[in-house]
Amino acid sequence: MENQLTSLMKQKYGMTKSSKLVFTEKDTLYTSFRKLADNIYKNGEWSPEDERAAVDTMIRNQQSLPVGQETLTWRSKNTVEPQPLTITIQELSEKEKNFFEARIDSNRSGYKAITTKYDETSGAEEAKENFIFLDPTNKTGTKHNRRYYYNAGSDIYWDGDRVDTRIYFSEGNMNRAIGYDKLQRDILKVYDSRSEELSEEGLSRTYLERLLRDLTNPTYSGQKGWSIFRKNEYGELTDEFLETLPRDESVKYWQVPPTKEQLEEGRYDNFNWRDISTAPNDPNKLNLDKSPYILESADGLSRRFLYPDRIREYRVHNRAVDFINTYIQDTYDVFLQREYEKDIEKQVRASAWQTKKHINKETQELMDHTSLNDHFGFIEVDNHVDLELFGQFEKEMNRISALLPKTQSTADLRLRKLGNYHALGIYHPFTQTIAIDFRDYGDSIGGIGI
Amino acid sequence: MREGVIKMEEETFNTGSFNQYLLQLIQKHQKGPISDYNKGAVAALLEVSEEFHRLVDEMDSQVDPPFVEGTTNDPIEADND
Repeated sequence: MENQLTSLMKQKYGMTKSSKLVFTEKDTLYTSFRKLADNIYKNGEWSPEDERAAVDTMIRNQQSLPVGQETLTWRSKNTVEPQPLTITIQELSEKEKNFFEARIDSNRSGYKAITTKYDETSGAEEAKENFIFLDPTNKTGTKHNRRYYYNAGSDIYWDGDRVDTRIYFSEGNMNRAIGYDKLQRDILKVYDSRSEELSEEGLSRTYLERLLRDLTNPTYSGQKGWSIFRKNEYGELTDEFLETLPRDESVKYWQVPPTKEQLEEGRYDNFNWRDISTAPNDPNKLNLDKSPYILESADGLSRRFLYPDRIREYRVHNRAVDFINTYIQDTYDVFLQREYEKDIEKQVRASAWQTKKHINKETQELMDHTSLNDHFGFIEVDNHVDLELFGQFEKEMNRISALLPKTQSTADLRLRKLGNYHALGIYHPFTQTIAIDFRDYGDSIGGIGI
Repeated sequence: MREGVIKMEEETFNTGSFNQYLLQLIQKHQKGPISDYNKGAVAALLEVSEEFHRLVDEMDSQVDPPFVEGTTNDPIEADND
């Protein structure tokens, strides 16, 4: 039966196996995300559908479009309503293959992504093509998902004619493309399942998408992107703390509060105000959404202005960092638990020189009564051995045993599966056990075939 | 480890852990009643934090970007849409 964690990893990311993953205290959000992506890629068998999905995500990352959403829109200058947009991923045509043949390594999987913007009012549509090549050797390095083009002025011909439009293309490491795709989709899926609660906390899907996009951008690898993915200190200031601070009451933060009608018309959002302390009767009031808090240093020599809108932005950022961090840690825990269970499974599984716990009744009977007991101290037969074919093996062994020189001690013989040992047969001296893989491997020397 | 051989452990400054430590201190001084002492402490910590990030950013800008071999015949890098 498949391990529950293995099924979870398969369901979430399409992984078919697992391997060791180690995070250290030096890992940043960026490097943890990258390690997780690499581990996902390493432990799966990926189909062209996975590659297409990865290309789709790469294009969306390039064009700042939401990942994992079926319906896409764009804002046209001509209309207020968002207009439809589609992304189509295609195989390369022969002509396109020929064009890139001399420019891109042939071992790369090439795809054409067409982004089409529609304007429903005018009926117009505009399609842009981008070519994406995935490198199975993962040597694209920091050029991963960067856009390049061939200039019209360069000496390039397309189907016999000089190129007169730009041909855009990107290359990507296969491991990052697939690993990041699986992670981005799953993180956003988790967000979507809790979107109501998370939006109330101020975390929008759009902000999360942006941060995830940056996490896939090699420009921000190492220390370089550290300032982007760290939590901001100003975002950690609480309302309780800020409310104890005085406000800057400069005239630029004065405003006449909106009337009830204006508020109802929706012309003002979150307009918070209070009396100006030096002029409480003035019709102007202090706009608390704009007026900064003033934080003085302990010696009173310097003052720091804390702007409410910036603090709100930093809080959203910190919430997004926390959200991704928690996701990564939870996933890491699942991976660690799976490796731990694998270790336990290894310990409890009978080694090739130990008798298995559950042996079928028929097999046990055969083990007890086989004539091979005359030549060996003990005979173990795997439940999967064909009992009819075993008769032939028994006959052959009796014939060979009669010819072989006699030894002082008697060995045990076990017919077992030895896949874990990568051997067709093994000898364990301590227990004097000969274990033979009984299966037929279909080649000239492989297996007995019973 | 062989006797008589002193292993020098390479110590590197962990920017992530230090940032985390500063954040914890900022949070700590906002718990409970907000006294003038706590306000002063938060102000000082914000200053340390800003200075620290300025130094990290400065150090980063001195690091040369990694060299990446070209893959095609002189393509031109484009801005994203």
